[in-house]
Amino acid sequence: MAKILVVDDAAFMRLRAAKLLVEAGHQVLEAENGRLAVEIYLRERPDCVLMDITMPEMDGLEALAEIRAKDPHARIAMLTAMGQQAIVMDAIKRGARDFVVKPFAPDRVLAAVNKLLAA
Amino acid sequence: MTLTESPSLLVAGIGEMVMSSSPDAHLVAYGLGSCIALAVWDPRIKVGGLAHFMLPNGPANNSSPVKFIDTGLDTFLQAMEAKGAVLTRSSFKAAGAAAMLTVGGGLAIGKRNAEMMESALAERGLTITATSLGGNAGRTVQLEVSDGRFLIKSLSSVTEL
Amino acid sequence: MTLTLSEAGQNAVAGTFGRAMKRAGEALGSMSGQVIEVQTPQLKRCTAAEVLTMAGGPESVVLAVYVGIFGSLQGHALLLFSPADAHRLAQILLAGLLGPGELPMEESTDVLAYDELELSALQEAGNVTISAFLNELGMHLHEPVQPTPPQVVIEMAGAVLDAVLLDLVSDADQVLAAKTTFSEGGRAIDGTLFVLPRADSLRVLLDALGAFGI
Repeated sequence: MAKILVVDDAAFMRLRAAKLLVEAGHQVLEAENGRLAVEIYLRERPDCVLMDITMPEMDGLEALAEIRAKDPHARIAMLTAMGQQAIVMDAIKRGARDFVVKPFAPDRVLAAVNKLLAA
Repeated sequence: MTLTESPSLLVAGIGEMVMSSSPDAHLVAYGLGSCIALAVWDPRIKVGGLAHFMLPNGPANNSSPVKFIDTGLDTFLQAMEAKGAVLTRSSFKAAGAAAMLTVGGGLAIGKRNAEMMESALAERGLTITATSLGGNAGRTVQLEVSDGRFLIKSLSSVTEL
Repeated sequence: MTLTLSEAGQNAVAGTFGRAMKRAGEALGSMSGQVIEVQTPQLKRCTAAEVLTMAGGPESVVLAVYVGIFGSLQGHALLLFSPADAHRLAQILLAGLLGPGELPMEESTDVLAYDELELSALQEAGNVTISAFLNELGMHLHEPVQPTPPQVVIEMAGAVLDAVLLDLVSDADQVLAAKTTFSEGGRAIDGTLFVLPRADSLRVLLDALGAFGI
C-alpha cells in the first residue's frame, strides 16, 4: 500500500482517481490546486503524485518544479487533458516521470503509479 | 416562441434598435450578458425605443447602428426624436453589463459598458432613471410601450423597473 | 482583424479544425463510455447575431463549459448542452463512482438545479473535450496552445456568448466560427462544440500548414 497525492481542480476527477487507487489498495490524499499540492506534499511526504496541469492558483507544471526543487526524489506523473508535445517535453524536463493524457483508461493510471513506485 | 410571431413583439438583436408608438408593442432584447440595453420612453406621447449595445466605443457602424455606445447613442436618440419623443421628459432605463465568464480575465467588458452608458448620457444632459446592471446573471429585457414598464427576466427572477 | 483569409487558407483551417473536432468527439466518447457521432464540422464567417442563431437563439437556456484559448493561437471554445441532456451526461459520468443512495436525483423537479459533483463532472467533460481539440491543433504548432481552466455556466445562450463575441468583433463585423454537434448513439445527449478563434492569430496555423499567402 502506498500513499498517493492526487492533484486536480475537478472534484469529479479526484473522486474518479481516488476510487481507482483505493480499490487497488492505496491510500489517497487530495489537493485542488498546485499551491495546496506543494503544501500537502511537504507535510505528508506521499510516495508519489498524480498531477493535473491546468488549475487555478498554481498550475501543475509550477507545482511540479516547486516540489522537485524541495525534494529532488519526488515521484510525480502528470495526469492531464493536455497532450501537446511541447507540454509533455516541458513536464519531463521539470522532472515528471510519466505523462498520462485524459480521458484515461484505469489500467493506464495504475501502470503509471506502479512505475512511479518501482522507481 | 409563439410570441415572436406576434407583430406587436419587436426584437432588438445584438447591435440593433427597435422603436414603436403602437400601444400593444413589446420591445424585447434577449439574453443580454455583457451587452447593455437602453430603453427610452416618452410618457407624454407613449413612444418607446430599445437599443441593444455591444461595446463602449468604436467607429459608426452601418450594419449594426448601435454596436458602440459612443457612436451609436446619438443614432438611437435621433431616431427616437424623429418618432416624436422629447428626450428631456423621457425615461432612460439600462440593463445588462454582467460578467459571465471570469476565467479569461480579459472579458470584463460589461463594467466598461455600464460606465460608458452613464457618462455618454450625462454628457448629453440626460440621466438614467433606473438600472439593472452588473452581476453575473444573463437578462432578457422587455419595454411595454403602453405604460413604459421595463421588465427584467433572469433565469431565477423577474423584476420590473 | 488584420488577416483576411483566402478561400484556400480558410479551407486549410477548416480541414484542421474539422479533424480536431473529431478528436474532441472521440475524447468525449471515451470519457463517457458512449458512442459519440460527430456531425461534419463547419467553419464559416458570420456575424455575432448568426453565431447566436447557430447556438439555438439568444434566449435558449444552455449548460455551457467555457475554455479560453491562449498561447500560439487565441480564441474561445464552448461546449453547450441543453439542461436535460447535461443531466443525462452527468448521470453517465457519475455512474459507478458513487455508492447507492449517493447519486444525485435522476428526475429532479428543477432541470436547472445541478449538484456540485454533477457540475464538476460536466466541467471536466468540457475540459477533456476542448483539450483534445487543442491537442490536435498543437500537433501542427511548435509552441503549445494553452487552455484556461474551464468554467461552467447555466444561462441563456446569448448571455454566455456575448462576452466572447464582443471580444472578437471590437474591430470586425464578422467572426470565424467553427461548430459541430456531438450525438450519443441513442440521441439522448446532443452537445454543440463552438470554437471561435481570433482570426489574426490564425497566421501561425496557416504558416504551419503551408497555406499562408495562398
